[in-house]
Formats: sequence, C-alpha cells, structure tokens
Amino acid sequence: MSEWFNKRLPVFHDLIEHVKHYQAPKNLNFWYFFGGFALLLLANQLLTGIWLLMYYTPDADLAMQSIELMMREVPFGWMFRYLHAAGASFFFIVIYMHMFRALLYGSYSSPREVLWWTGCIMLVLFMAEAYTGYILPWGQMSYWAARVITSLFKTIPLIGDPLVLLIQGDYEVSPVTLHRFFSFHVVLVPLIIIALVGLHTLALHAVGSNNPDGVEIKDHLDKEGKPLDGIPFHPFYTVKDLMGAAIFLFIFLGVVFFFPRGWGLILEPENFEIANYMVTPLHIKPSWYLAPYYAILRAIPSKGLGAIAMFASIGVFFLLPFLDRSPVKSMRYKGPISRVALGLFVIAFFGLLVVGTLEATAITVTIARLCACLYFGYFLLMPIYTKIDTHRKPPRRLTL
Amino acid sequence: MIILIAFLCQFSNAVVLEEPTFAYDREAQIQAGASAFAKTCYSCHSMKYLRTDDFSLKGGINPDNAPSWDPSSWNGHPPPDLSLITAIKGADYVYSYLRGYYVDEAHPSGFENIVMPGSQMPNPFAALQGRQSLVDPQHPDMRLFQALKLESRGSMSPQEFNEYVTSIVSYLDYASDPSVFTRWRIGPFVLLFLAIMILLMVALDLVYWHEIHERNRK
Repeated sequence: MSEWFNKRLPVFHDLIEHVKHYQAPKNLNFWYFFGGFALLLLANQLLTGIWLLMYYTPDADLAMQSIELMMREVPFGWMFRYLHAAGASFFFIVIYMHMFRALLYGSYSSPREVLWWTGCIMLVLFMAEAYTGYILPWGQMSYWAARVITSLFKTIPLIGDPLVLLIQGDYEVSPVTLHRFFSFHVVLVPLIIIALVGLHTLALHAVGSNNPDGVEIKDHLDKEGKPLDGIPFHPFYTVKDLMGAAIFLFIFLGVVFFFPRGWGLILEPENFEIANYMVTPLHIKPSWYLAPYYAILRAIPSKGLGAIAMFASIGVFFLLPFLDRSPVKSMRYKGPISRVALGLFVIAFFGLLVVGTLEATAITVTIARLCACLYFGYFLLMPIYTKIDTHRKPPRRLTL
Repeated sequence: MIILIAFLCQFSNAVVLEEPTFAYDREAQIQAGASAFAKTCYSCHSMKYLRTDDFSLKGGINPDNAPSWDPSSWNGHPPPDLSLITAIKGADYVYSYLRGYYVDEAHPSGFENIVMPGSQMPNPFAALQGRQSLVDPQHPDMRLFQALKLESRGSMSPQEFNEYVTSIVSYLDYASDPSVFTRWRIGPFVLLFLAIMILLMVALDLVYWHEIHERNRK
C-alpha cells in the first residue's frame, strides 16, 4: 500500500528519508534546541489561533468583548487565549536565542548565507505578525501603538503617504484598520511565514547544520560518503529535541497556568482598557520584544532619521555574512576583540530592551543612545575588528 | 540601579499603595465580596463580562439588573464597568483607592480621594467607614494609614471595614480573570505530567546516545 502510494506521490517517503538520512554534527549543544522550539511554538500559535478565530470578532465595539466573553464562557477559552498570548512572547525569546546561537558560532557565514537570510526575513515577518496581532484586542495600547508605528511609514519618501493609507485603510487608525490588520494577522503574514519555514528547512538540509566548532563535517567523509563526525538526525536528535521540548513546555505551561499575564509583559495592564481615541496614554510603549527597536527610534531626535535607524537596526542583520571577515566561524576560536564585541552587543540589546519599555527621560534616552552606538558598532565595525583580531586554529575534526 | 530608580519613579503616587491581604479561603471571600459589591457598587458600576459566573450570580450580580448609563451623563464620564479594573490598575490601586477617601469641603461631594484626586465618585463608604481626615504635612513616600486619620467611626469597626473592602477587591481581582481556580486546579497536574515526561525523555536520550558517547570515549 505504501509502495503503491509512494510511486504516485513520494512526499512522505522523501520526508522520512530526509529526516533519517540528514547527517547532523555529533556535538550540537544547548543552543541548538531553539530552532525546534520555534517550530513547536509556531504549531502552538497556528492551532490556538484557529481556535481563537472561531470566537473573535474584528469589530471595534466587539473585539475586546468577544475575547473576554470567550475567556469566561467558552470551555478552556482562557487556555487558548493565554497559550496564544504567552506563545508570542516565548516565540521571541526562542527566536532571539536562536539568532544569538548564529552570532556565537558564525552560522551566518558561507555556505549558510541564504539560510541566514530566510531567517532574517522571518524575523521581520514575526514582528509584523506580533504587531498586527497586538492590535486585535483593540485596547488602549493596541490603538496608540498602532498609531505610532503606522505613522513611521509616513517618513518613507514619495510612497509613504499612499502606503500608510493602504495599510490603515483610512486617514487615521480606525475600525477599518482593525479589520485590515485582522486579515494581515490571520491570512497574509502566516502564509508567508509557513512558506519561509519550508525554505529555511530546505536551505538547512542543503548546506547542513553548523556546529559549535564551526568546521564543516562534510570535509571528512567515510567510504560511504557520510560525514565521519555526523550522526543521523533520527533517532539521535529527535530524542534530544523531545527531551528539550518537554523541558521547554514545563516552563512555558508553568507561565501559562500560573502567570498568564507574565507580570505585565505578556498582557499589558493598559491593554485591558478599551481603545479611546480621546485619551492618549501617559506613556505609549511597545511589547517588550519590540522595545529594542523602539528605543533606537526614540534615541534619535529627528523622527525621519529615527525611523531609518530603526529599520536599519533590523536590516543590518542581513549584512552579517559580508561583515564578518574572520577566517574562523566559531567564537570558540575567535580572538578577544570579537568576544568583547559580542558581549557588548548583548548588553546593548538588553539595555535597549529595558529603556524601550520606559518613559523617554533624559536618562533613558542617553542610555538608549549609548546602547544604539554599541548595537550598530558591533555590526559596522565588524569588518575591521574581525580582520585585526587574532584567532586560534580550529581543529580539523569536531571536538566534544 | 539608575534604571531601577527611574523605573520606580514612574509609579510614584501621592502615597504608597497598600496591598490587600486576601484570605486563605479565597472562595468564601470572593463570595462575600460579590454580595458586598452588589450592595455597595452595583447600583452604578456594571460587570458586563460576568454573565454566567457563579459567584456573581449568587451575589446578585447579573445582566438583568445591570446599571447602564448614557455616555453623556456624569460630564461625559459615567461610572466605568469594573470587570477588568484590577487588571488595568492593579488590586493594590483599587484597595487603596477604596480606603483613600477623606473629608474635603472644597470638593463638590464633600470627600476627596488621596489615590485619585479629583475623582467624581462620591464616597460610598462614609456611613460604614466613618470620616477620615488628611494629615499634614505630607511627604511622597507616606503610607496610606500615615496620611489619613480616622476622625469618627462609622457603623463598622476598622477591622470589619478592612475585611469588607478587601472582599470587594478580592471579588474584583477574581472577576478580571475567573479562570484562576481552574488554572490552579489543572496546572499542577499538567506540570507533574511534564516532569514525568522530562524524566522519561532524559532516560530515553541517555539510552540512545549511549552508543555515541561510547564511540567518543575510544
């Protein structure tokens, strides 16, 4: 039966073969769990999203009511809502860890540039997805954050105004915008994300996983043409990922069941209040995961330049394969300057994250400027410091 | 440290907000709070998201007798719905607000609120709590009980009144997320299941990886 089917549509066969024969380096560590977690969370977002969609009404007067009544009156409605909301925050934790791994072990450099770029595009899409989703409850912060962010697109020369009109569907953020963002959040962006997840996986399977040593396992093959330091993904990494998933779910569901508002980080207090066009909140702030970029926007006095810097802070990730001039990939063998640079980048990222959620005062703006300099310095000075930095010679084969 | 201080400054009110101490028997307290809410608050404030909730229905809060206001009444600020008030403001804010009324002849209703100065809401507890007055001078990190002094007792003793207000806050806190008891009941089993899964998966991982670890040792 399966033979019969395979001859006509070999998709399942190919899929299983792909997993079974995919040779992964034998020394993958903690940092390599996060790609799998992202996939797990994507499934969570899709499934809980479908459920929420059955009850949610994308109408300015009914949006919050439909959510609140679902949480109270639909069996386990609260669980699907909390899984979806906490899932978004956890998604960004996982994605940032996943990206940090790439910075740490040089996973963006040749031959993995395209793999890295598909990931970068997905980062932008996740932000769009999170942002459009954030508008849907039509709370105070939904509305005012929408106004701040859409106004940024106005700074784009020539096409800015018509673009904003297209996104908003109105001259101001209005109930029409809510309906439009609903469509983006539920159909447009998820479809592109799913397609890119496919491309990301295909690209990974074409070039193979990088590893903590940053050396190519394909350079040393046995008689059968298999990498000497490779092991089949299944069963070795499937059991490891299952173990990781169990630990991850323990933490994730611990938050969902016992701290579903995530101390005001997953569901902000301000957003339990219904959108009011007449009352501007004292302090408009983005969700924590977008705060670093928002801090960069505010750090620059001119709005136009601030918007450019903000878009650049995400866009600059795309350039990484060209910026890194080091002869070695992994931080294990890179020199002290590269290590300090990465350390400062992490500090700058967290600094921006914290000040981005705070009110703009003289202190927070100064910290944001300092951190923004470090943030861009990490990327833009990389061609210089990776060139002059020392390095150790990596081993020919994997170490453990 | 600077960030922390800057952060804390954002929340500086006239006084330090007081945390309510919820009873060990939350369910009984919530039930008492629902009845108290129906008696003292429900004449003006609706609870529109609680249509089928047992505590609310038993306490006398149901959509059939919900108050409704014209949007233009009360100078355009009619009494708000309170279903989500503790989610927006925090239980400590609501608790301190309800205990924060003091006599001020300049205010149209005769009472001013220390937590939300200029509040339109007349003091609902004057008969129960008695009359409080503002202590002079004030400093910014003053506690609520330092800033306000009970001048004359109402029909309740201070302890009784505290329990009364705490029960209302307890009910409102519950109302902002009624899934809380279900979550607490199911949650431990979910985590227990996952803890067992973790142990099994670690064991499974060690069994499969034994071969690789052995190979590496040689």
